[in-house]
Amino acid sequence: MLTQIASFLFSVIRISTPIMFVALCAVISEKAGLLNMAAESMMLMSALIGVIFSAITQSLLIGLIAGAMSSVLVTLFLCFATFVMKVDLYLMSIAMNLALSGATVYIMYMTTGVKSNTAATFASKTMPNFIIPVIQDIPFLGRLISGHNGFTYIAFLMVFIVWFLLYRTKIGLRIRAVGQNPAAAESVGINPRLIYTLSFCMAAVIASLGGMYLSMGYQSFFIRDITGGRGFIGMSASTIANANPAIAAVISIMFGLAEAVTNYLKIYIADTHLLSALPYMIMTVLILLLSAVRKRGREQIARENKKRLEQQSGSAVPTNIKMRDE
Amino acid sequence: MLSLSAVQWEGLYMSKEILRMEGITKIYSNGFMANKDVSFSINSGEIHALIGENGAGKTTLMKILFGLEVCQSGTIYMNGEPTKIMNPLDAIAKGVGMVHQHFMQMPDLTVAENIILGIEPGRYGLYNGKKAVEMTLEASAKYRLDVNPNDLIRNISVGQKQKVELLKALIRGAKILILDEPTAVLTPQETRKLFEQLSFLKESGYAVVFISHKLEEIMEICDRVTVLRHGRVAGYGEIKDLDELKLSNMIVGRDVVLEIEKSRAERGASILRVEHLNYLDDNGKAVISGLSMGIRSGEIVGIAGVEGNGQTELSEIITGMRRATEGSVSINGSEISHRSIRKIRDLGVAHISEDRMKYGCAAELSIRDNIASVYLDRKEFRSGLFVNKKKINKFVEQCIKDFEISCGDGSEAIRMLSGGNIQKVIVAREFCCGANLIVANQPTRGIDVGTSDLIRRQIIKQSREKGIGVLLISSDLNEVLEVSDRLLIMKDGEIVAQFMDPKSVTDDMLGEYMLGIKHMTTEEMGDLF
Amino acid sequence: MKRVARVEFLFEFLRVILGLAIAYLFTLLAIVFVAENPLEAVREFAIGPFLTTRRFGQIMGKFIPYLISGCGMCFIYACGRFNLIGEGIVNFAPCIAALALFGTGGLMMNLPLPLNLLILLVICAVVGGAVASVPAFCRETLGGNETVVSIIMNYMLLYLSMYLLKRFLSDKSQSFLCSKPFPDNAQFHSLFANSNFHSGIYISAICFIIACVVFYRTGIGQKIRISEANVSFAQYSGIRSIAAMYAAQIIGGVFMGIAGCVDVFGLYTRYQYSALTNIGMDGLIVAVIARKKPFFIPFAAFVLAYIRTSAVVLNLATSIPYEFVNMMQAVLILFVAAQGFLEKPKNRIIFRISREIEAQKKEGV
Repeated sequence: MLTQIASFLFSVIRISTPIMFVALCAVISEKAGLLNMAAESMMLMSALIGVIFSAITQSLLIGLIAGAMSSVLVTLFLCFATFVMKVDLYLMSIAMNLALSGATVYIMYMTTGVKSNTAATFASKTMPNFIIPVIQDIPFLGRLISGHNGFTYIAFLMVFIVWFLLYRTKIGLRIRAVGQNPAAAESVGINPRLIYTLSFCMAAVIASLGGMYLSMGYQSFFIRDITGGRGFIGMSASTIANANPAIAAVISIMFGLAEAVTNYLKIYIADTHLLSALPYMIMTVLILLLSAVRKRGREQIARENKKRLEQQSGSAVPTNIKMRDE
Repeated sequence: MLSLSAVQWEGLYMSKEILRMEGITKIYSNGFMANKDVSFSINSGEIHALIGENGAGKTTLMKILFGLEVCQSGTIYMNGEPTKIMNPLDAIAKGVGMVHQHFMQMPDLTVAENIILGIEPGRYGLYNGKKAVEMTLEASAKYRLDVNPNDLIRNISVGQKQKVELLKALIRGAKILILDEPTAVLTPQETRKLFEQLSFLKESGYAVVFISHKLEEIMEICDRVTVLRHGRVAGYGEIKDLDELKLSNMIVGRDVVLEIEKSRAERGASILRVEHLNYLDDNGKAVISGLSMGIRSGEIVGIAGVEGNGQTELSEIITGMRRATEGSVSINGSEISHRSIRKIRDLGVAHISEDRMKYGCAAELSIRDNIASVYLDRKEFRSGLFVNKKKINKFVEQCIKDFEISCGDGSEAIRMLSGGNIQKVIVAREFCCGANLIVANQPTRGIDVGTSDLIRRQIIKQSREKGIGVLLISSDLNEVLEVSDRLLIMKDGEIVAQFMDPKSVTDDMLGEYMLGIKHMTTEEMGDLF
Repeated sequence: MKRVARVEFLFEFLRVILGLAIAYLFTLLAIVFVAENPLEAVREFAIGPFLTTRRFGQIMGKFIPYLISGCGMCFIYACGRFNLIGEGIVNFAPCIAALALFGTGGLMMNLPLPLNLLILLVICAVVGGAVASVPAFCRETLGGNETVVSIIMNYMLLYLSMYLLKRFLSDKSQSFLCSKPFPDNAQFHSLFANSNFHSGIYISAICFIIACVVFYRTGIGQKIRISEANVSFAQYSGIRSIAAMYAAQIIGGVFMGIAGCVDVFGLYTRYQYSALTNIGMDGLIVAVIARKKPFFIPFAAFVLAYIRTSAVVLNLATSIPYEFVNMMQAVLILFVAAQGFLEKPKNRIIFRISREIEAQKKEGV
């Protein structure tokens, strides 16, 4: 019984891995003040390019680097369109997602002559699973922690890396500053557009790992539309978590849990579609609830600030004095 | 070798001229001359007041100093050497620090993080938070500006936020500090503290440019004063040689006296009644205190006063864009404190806003759409769900003719028009909507002479021919003295004077009340309704 | 004045045309690069769709829903909100309508065709409007992000639709998941020789007219446009801008519902969607090409329908995957929607004209 639960949880972590990567990439963009809608395109590109390059060079490392670089290139194009050509960011992100879903099929066709998957042509290298020597023998936890794919361990490490980046490096501080007040940042010599581009590129690298997990993790080929909407799931996880890296990871795992439950129950229950809809329903309700809570929180903070000022200056302070257009 | 005593050394140091701007002329691309041959200098260890109304040129002058604008002619000397200031970073590098009126801070970062942003401590790209706190405490102690490095900006008071802005400038090596209306947002206690800090900075050899309108404060803390008016230097002197009256004469004055023809006002029924109005802003500051006044049909009531004394907030409360904290406002007999803007307009109020591009129009829409915006639900222009385009277009045509708006047929985007014509469109819209109370806030600011004249004549016409009551708020003294039938002066959110015969008011009298030197008693003011 | 206005209009027009041209060229290049028989491939791509009735019918089959969803997205996009719930509505609303059709035990079987169609359209419209109000609520009342909510809801609605299909509508005799065939009196029948050109076109036309009328001539349309242009100005004028934003998004949802209805009951004989149709996203692209002006939607919708059909035709002729035309869309949007595209030349010309006018004024005076 226990082993069954451990296996189940193992699969939860496995399923959550790509979502965690995307959620963390969205966290960085959100801290900079922008919503990362283009995660799907970043993932698709790296998934395909990683497979191709690792197959050609028969080296996992080169495949990974090539995949990451291809995501960054896609992102640079997005930044060029947004900051130089002044297209609306969200519109261009949506366009990029569409474009990449087509471009990856096109490239696949160009190189393999097939438009479903690359299995026939490219013998991609994959990231191996790692069995951790001592831990694997621990009764319950061993089954849970050891034996995951390398990408999974990287994903958990990435939570720490992203946190470290945002709160312990200079660039992280600047990203957070620009996200809160770009004009003020500009007044001390920081270029907001540069920071936006940098944060998007960092996000691209992280998202690329998520994409490559899908095609080079526990399988070794790229399938068309391999990402299946995970880009948006991860982005919502970051929104729900209010761009906190640790909480975003937790939400991602929760979503992985939902998906694992759906997969598991598919064997027993016929109405699998309702199950598939369930996690999205919960997410929708969560987002709505959290927006309401956050709104109340903002109003509460404003009230408390007024109270403190009241005490300080000794005069009555009103509670509802905002301009009507706010 | 001369041997000088400590005080003499200090004296030498103190009198060193650290900055001189000479012959500065700046003309904007639309032809507006913001600065004409302006000279300004400041010594180390001095607090120099810079006074001037909005549009007088002091903001432009400081922008040039801080590298945000480039001047057509003139030179800047720093420590005797001619210098060019290319951009704000360059200005900071050369020792100029600006404390903006609207603080440039990140609410969810700490005080320390805000202060060291851009010059973060740490090696190899890492950020050393501890060192940032140390740096902040060091600076805080050195400049006697008490702040807690770990507080979040969103949780601290305005006075504290200002200290953070000061520290930001000082920690980057600013020797010249530009303070833009620093006490506008402070409570009296916080103002006291600020003055203590400024005195300390002055004694330590820093130079402070103090932009303000508050005469009491300028007299208290400043050493010299430069007054700008219409882009030129209108006055200059040492504070010790001046008193409030002399200062006010330099600041308030009309260069030319306009003459506008006007028949006598026939005051009718009461339209607007404001009673015991109080308004506290987001920071708890009393922007309007216990203000009571009224307007009757057929009269033009003008409000003069230095900007920032509550006039704009008053106009916004009357028109529904802001809610009062306490007190009552009634229009045509109805209390309006909780009404929507729409309901207030329906009661008979028209509003010419101070910020015409933000509130007065939508730049990308056509002239027709801009005029139609307040008429969309009027029965005359509606047939059921549909807006009767023909009728509206005819109405727009009439407006264009009546107000001599120079444009095509009205279908072009309003941003194509000159500022004056845009204002004419706004005035046309507001004057034709059948209101019997018009609130006009700075209706001729930044507008050419011809259009200003037309607008003033229209205001008088509306009040005389249609018995409309007008509230005219203007920083153009000519305008407010010549157009108003009755003049009120506002200072610190109160009415401090009323003149039943504005034409008889002298510039000296204006200055005394506007700058807070004198305050009428209730008897002297008479009936404010 | 007039000259500057004309220059501006010209550049807007140019941006769209040039953008289309560049994107098209780019796509042709991509085809040439990969096709075995480049000349034939290009011919198929460019003219192919017009060569047979059937193919032209395909263009129309796509044009019909694009026109309607384009109108819908025009309202939503024009009010500055990225409410992308269209995708989900297109799947979900017709599903509910199908439930009504089959679930009311033959009630609708006995009604005349026009009445049935009207009922179906109304159901889809209502469902569409109701669903679209959820992301709107999230944004306008709660201050959250409508794009995230709408995208998540799209997936939710997709799976819900498939659940409803499987549970209540499915025709067990078929090998793929679909509903029973629609009765003859509840379909938009084909207009020409069994092609995809069906009578839904009349609905599209009506929707287009309604969209233009509402956008330009009703009070609510004006208020939506003013709120989008400058929300401070809208409120200062007494316009309830929040209500306008809600209205815009709900109207958009209504159009999306109708688009779904017309597609399901016109293009297919059964309800059989098993994935998101992309009609919603394509509606957004149509709105972008039309520069948020309902007047240009038919042109934009036709262009997009033509491009997509070209891709299908090309696929049939050369087996080049049809998705690659998606790449073209990114390039298209890049040029059409970019403020920065052609900005410098436009500003230079306007500057020159202004100076000429200034000089003329001085001479005249």
